[in-house]
Amino acid sequence: MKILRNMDKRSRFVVCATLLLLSLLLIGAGRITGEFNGRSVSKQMEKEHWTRLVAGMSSQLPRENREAWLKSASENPQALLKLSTIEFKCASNGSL
Amino acid sequence: MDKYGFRAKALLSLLVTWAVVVTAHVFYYTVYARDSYLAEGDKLAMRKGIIPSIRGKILDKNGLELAWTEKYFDLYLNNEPEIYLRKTSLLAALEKILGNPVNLAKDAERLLVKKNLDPETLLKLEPLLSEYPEIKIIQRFERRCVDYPDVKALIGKVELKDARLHGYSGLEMAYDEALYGRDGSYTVMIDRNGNWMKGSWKLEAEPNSYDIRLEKSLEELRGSQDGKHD
Repeated sequence: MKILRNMDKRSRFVVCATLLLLSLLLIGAGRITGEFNGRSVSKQMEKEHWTRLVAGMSSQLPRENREAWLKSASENPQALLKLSTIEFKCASNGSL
Repeated sequence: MDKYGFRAKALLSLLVTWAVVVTAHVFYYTVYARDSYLAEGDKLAMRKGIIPSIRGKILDKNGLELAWTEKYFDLYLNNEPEIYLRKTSLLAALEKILGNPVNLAKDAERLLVKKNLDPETLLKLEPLLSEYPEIKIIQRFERRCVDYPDVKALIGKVELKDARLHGYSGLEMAYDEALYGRDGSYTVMIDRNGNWMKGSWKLEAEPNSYDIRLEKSLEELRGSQDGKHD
């Protein structure tokens, strides 16, 4: 504060303007970092979701395939989920 | 000296203006207009997948399955590849995975290559789907029932409409809406090659199926067909 008091009006203006710009940049960077962190958490959780969802489908299969399905579900749940999907369309409207 | 002072000030002013413009742009895109741009991006890249509900079971009062649905996966070829090399490489890849030679019937619009694929084969075939859009793996639902003619008659039949099973007679028709269940859905962002982008998958609704439990046991049902149900 003492340093600021010793400055002339012009220098104070420059310091304030710089601080304002820096804070705006930091806000923007914070939003982007928040987005990346959110995705990183989602990445870990989505595989667990797929595995649980796909493993739950094992009861829909003929008995002889259930064990192999569970094994495959732990290996590559995304592939089995894709194969178990009947429609894959634009989230807004219209189909792919 | 004044001349240099003027130049320094001009340069500094230019740099400050540039910094202000850049900062304003960063702020605009990352904070002010962020949501609208994200929504626009979602429209282009976001996809919604539907996981079909499986038709519920019909159980007797002891929980014994009287009618249930089984899911199978079949491999189809939609169009025969026109380029010879492509066709040869596809056939070789299929032969390697399926273990026996694949014969393609000419002029067939959609050719069944193999029925009832096991899960291991499914995983081996999955990478080929993006490489060869001609091949498709399609789910098939089959309704099973206990092997007693009188109980079968009571339970009734289902028919396939729009790749789904619908009650056609008997209990299957009476409880069609409940047995049909509720489809599940998810959203995911895809890249330009159609791959799922990591961290973008979200479950909207889990597929649900509802079972019907009758008030009589299988033995009682075999004796009389006038059972009351839940």
